[in-house]
Amino acid sequence: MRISRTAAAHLLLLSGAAVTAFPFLWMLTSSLKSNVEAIRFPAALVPHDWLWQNYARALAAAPFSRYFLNSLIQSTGVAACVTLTSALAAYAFAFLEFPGRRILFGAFIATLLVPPEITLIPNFVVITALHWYNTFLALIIPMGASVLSVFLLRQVFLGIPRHLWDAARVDGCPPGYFLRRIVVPLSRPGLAVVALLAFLRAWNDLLWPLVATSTDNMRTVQVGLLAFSQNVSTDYTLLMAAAVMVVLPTAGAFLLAQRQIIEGIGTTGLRG
Amino acid sequence: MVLTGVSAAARLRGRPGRGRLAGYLYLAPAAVLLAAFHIYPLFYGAYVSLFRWGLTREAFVGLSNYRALLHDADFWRALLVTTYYVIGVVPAEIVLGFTVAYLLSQRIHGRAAYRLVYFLPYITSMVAMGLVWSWIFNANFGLLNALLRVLHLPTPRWLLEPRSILALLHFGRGLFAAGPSLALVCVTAVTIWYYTGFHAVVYLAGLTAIPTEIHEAARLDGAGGFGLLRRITLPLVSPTTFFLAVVATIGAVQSFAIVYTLTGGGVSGGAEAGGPLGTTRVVTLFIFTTFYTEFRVGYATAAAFVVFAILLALTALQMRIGERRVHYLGG
Repeated sequence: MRISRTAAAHLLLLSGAAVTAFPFLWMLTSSLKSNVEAIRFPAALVPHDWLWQNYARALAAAPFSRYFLNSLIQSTGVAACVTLTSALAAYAFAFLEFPGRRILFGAFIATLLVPPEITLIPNFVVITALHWYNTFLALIIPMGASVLSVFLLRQVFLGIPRHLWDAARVDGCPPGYFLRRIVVPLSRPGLAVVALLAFLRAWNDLLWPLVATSTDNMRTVQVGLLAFSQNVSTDYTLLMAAAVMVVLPTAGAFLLAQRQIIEGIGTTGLRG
Repeated sequence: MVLTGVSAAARLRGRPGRGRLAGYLYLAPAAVLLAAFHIYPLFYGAYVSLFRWGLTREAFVGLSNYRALLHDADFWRALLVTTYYVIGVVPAEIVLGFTVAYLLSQRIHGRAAYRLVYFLPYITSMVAMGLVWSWIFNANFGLLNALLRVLHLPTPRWLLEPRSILALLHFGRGLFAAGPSLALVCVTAVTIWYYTGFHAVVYLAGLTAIPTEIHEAARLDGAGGFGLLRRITLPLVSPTTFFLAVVATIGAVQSFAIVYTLTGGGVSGGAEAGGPLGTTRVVTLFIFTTFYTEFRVGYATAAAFVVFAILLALTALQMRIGERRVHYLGG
């Protein structure tokens, strides 16, 4: 009875996992096939010849190295910006005492109510007026603060034993010193999750880079990949090779820190 | 609840002066960015929506943009398409997410591996995975139709099919021919594929937070299997269900990248974003094309505000319902 229930659970979970994983396998294996083999049926799960040159061809078919560089600059910039602004704000909310703290925290949370479709067009008008259009400033600065990251880090900081803070205050330790020497070293995993999530969000974003940039040399990977897909039409092996390259950095980062990322998202409910 | 520790420590300190100013200084960078790019756009957008606004501000038109939206059949259809999409996506994500999390919470082997696989779509690019799916769904070269051909089954055009699934299934004609197009159903399925792992992970956090004594006590009282699930587990995770319903609804209304990649922006080859005959043109796509392709900035902003208002009303309604239905542990 007990064994059959476990077996049934595994059967359900396995079939679900197969559906979930299949597109990834299909993308990977197709990226190494020849064009003829890619659309043959019954399809082989392992390519006949491993055509690694599909990747070189994809890289040559569009300025992908430029897209990668742009996305890397944008995502690293956003991650640095978000981690810095969130850590500072979370520190203020978790430790410092000042009038209006609770109201300001409420105001921070309230900004979550303003949806991206509202901010999209005014932000476009603003960055155009600032002459940031089609620059890295436009790609990075508007994404440089995240309320959910402030919230997540505040939770992390509140887990730091209070007696450390009280002892530091008694010894006359300035707030900045306590942040750098105590809070940051004790919160490395939390800070890493915030940075990684910000990086993933920026790397995977389509709408804002699509709107905020116009030329090929400012395109990010998502915008570039989409434009590439319209040009290659039915050369699916090239398309899959390009897709693998776009997915790889985020999948790699995720595999390295999956437990922390999953727990960070599980507890705050960030939905990108 | 989490604030109690802070205020206790605050009483110990209570030294005014430098600490106060420091608080504002530490908040400033985040506060300035949020004010500039999240709060200011709300007011500036409201202002823009009152103008005829193309490449630049043209003329003040008061509420005419909003009035015109009321009579815009395309906008109404976009709202209808979004409604189909939300109804298709939200319950399925919640049910599937809960099922996966529930099975994983049963002390099962390989739990970490399952969790990893289910969560993988959520951290990958919607554009990349959207392109993979649009190839699988491709009528001529796609894997799905290749399979159906071998089985001698009809091969639909999937993402290019504007006819409603009800009509395709010969389920009622004429009056009942309405309903989501097959293309929209495909987009819905891919969206569910993408988000199920996210829901499972949030549910799993909720399920593991339930003290095991509660289940043990219920078991001792003779509860088991389905009764335990229905009477104990489901009520205890209802705060999570409620939270996910709100988040999933908001997320579905805001969906852009998936819909745009699958129908319009990607290889599917639809000339216009929004798929075959606009049957996958959700409101965010309507706003995007009005703004970005047609450059009717004032009109697009007004549409965004109407969607925002609907979303706020919907969330408020969910909160009202949630208040009555949700059980909080020890509250």
